[in-house]
Amino acid sequence: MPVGEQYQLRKELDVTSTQLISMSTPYVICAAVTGPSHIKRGLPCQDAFAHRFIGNNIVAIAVADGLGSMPLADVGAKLAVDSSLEFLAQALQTDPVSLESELMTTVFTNCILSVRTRLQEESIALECPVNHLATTLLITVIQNDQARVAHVGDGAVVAETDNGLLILSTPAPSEYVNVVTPITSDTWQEDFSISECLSCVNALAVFTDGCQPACLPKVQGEYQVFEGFFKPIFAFAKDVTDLTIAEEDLDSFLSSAKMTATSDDDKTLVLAVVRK
Amino acid sequence: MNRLEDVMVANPQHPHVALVLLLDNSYSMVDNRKIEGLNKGLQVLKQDLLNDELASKRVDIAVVTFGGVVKLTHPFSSVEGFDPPTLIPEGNTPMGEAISMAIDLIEERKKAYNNEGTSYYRPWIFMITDGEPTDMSPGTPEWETVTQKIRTGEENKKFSFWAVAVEPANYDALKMIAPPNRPPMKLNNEPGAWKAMFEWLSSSHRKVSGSKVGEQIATDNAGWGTIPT
Repeated sequence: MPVGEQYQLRKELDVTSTQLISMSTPYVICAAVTGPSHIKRGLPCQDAFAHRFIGNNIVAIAVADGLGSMPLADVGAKLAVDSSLEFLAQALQTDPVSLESELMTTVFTNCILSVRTRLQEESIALECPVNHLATTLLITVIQNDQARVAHVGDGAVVAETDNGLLILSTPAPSEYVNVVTPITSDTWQEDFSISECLSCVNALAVFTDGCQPACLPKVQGEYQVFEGFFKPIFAFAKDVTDLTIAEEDLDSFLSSAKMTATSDDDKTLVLAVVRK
Repeated sequence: MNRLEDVMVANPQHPHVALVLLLDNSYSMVDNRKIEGLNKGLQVLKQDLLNDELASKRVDIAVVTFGGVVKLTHPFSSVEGFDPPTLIPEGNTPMGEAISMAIDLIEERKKAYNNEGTSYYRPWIFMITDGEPTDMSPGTPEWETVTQKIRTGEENKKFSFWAVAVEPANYDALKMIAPPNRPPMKLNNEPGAWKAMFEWLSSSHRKVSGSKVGEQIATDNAGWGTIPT
């Protein structure tokens, strides 16, 4: 997403960079860049992301990756992100639940169901099959120093905790790099996961599959956290004093030759720092 | 100082797609200069893939031939390392054994990718023949084994199996061998059809290796072949 649109998003939320840093809730740094393969094929960035503060101790982050083969994937991704945050804001504001409770799994499941309904409605309005809006969806909720993730498709969430780095949510298993089950699929539940509730979180990274090769290599079939990537990334995020500059830096980093060499796909990286 | 300069990246490797060309070089390929079309087509494939920056890094090609004997004529290599062989027509058509070799090659290649930590796309087996198998026939155990391997592989999405019939191939036999969801194509008799087919093969691999699709790409094959009804 261009930096300008991110500013607009914050403006809509009526939250400025300075306010974010001074607030006691976690702060969030986001960047998304269009992949070279999309630029070459004249496609827009089909990733979407947004975050929302709910009450005074919850942040919900949604990241979606529209499927490159689908004509309205960018529309689907944006809608999935917006409608999931809308649902969570309503659900958690009117009826606060603890992240670790069983009730939270119901909230997450209902959230995905509501996004599916919203996508179906949109496909009817646009007079197209719902799979034209196909997208993955990665929803992360942070409450105080706890975090939990609901996930359909690829992308991942890595956390820095008091006990070190770990993967909070892995990409859904798939033998092939270009095969993913989107939220619009009838078989979405096979690739739907809700993570454990993780405590003692200091920082989180939520990212689409375009970032995966750089930071989450597969070693003998298992995803591994690449410390050389995450340690400096989280150190950078914790040192931020100006969100605008930080997001420009993150944007440049995602567009850098180093990152482009690992993947030509769109790349979205959202960093959240929990202030303790 | 922007500390993001310190960030290291884990894996600069590209995902790969394995392509096994399963080529009939039995004696009948000498007729109508079919073998020339095939040999020139291999050159076109290499050049076309080399011209695409992504595909040239991502496609791995192997060639299995069946003319008298089944041979791994070219082991897997990158596009750059692919040295298109000049095939010489000889002998009969041991297609069954060749198909089994192609499937085994794919499995070995996947193991190698997994050991290296290389991610990959669904591999392709692309068979071209002008005849019918001489080492198996419907009802024999060999026939059952080979056709079952193709069906199971397709159903479990282990690979995509494509068959192309060149005149005077036994289309009915090929139809029984090819997976039901992907009937064999029939190469047109028009000039330029061989070249067009290999350009299509290259273009399909450029598309596969450059996108994230959720499902296999449906590729338009206009210009070189038809599916008889």
